[in-house]
Amino acid sequence: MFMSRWLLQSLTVIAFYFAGTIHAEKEQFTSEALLKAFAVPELGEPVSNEELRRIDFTVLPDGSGLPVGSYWPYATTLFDYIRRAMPYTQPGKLTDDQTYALTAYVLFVNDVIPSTQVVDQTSLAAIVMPNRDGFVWSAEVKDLQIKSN
Amino acid sequence: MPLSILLEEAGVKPEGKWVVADGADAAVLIRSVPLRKIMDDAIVALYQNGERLRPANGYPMRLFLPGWEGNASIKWLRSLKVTSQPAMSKNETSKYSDLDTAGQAQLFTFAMGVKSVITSPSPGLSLHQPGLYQISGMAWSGSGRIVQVEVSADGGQSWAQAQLDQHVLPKCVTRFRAAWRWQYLSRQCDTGMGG
Repeated sequence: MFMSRWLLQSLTVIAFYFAGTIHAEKEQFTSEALLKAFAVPELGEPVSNEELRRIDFTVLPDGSGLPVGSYWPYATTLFDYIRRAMPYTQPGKLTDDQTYALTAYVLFVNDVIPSTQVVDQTSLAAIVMPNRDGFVWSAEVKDLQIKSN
Repeated sequence: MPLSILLEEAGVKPEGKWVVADGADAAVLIRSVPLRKIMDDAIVALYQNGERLRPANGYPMRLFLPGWEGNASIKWLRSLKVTSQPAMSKNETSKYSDLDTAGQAQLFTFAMGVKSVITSPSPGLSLHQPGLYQISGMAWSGSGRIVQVEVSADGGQSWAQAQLDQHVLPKCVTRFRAAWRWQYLSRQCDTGMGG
């Protein structure tokens, strides 16, 4: 539980460590280069691939965690958030390719896509998240929508 | 400045149903707001309590959505886009959605729900002996003007009606007061009331 929350909140450090593993052959960077560029020592050490694999990515009974793979309705949200807010200490500094690579990496560790899948503008929008149908409009939204028609 | 004036000035196409606001903080926080709410009572705030907004409150300007959870009132407002669909941003889908026990989640969480707090007696205040004291606090309904507030001094076994201060407004916290006779001393009371 702690690990999964930590993963969500500081996507950056962990993700950079392995970013190159998704489609390194296509990108101009390596995980080592990214780590060097954006390292934040005070945020701790990156977790190992094995440690990441042990994280339970299911939604927790108390609703905490709400991980990407089992909760988020849209994959494009991940691209948007990484582009806006990451890396943690230098938000907005990633190129589009780096952002797609990180998006792919997080989708991969969440078991949404295989390691071989290349994520770009077209393929990202086509990804159907496992919990896509797990959402309904709240009464508040319905009420406001009805009033506006 | 009411946002309805700005949007009427700019003109909104019929297909516009949502307004997507983002701020200039590090995470460029973004929320989607139904157009109806924007036209109803949303404002762009430049001042607070007679002075310019302070940096921590969103200087130079912020969105303000009366009655809604604070995070939706985007600070350091940098853009507003009228769209046909919500943006489905990270926070509004993963944080401000309400997951029920059946595993279905409702999009989105907007209104601040019912809340109350007792401000007196409070930790740090010494009540030296049993006697008559005034209980006072603030209450928030989340769905309009407060009709009544009840206070319990025995863990919910019995309730007494509190008096409401004047000027009970639909989107404002309401001050309530109730008389309370502290009749006994015990270890628990000592601890609970800070005496």
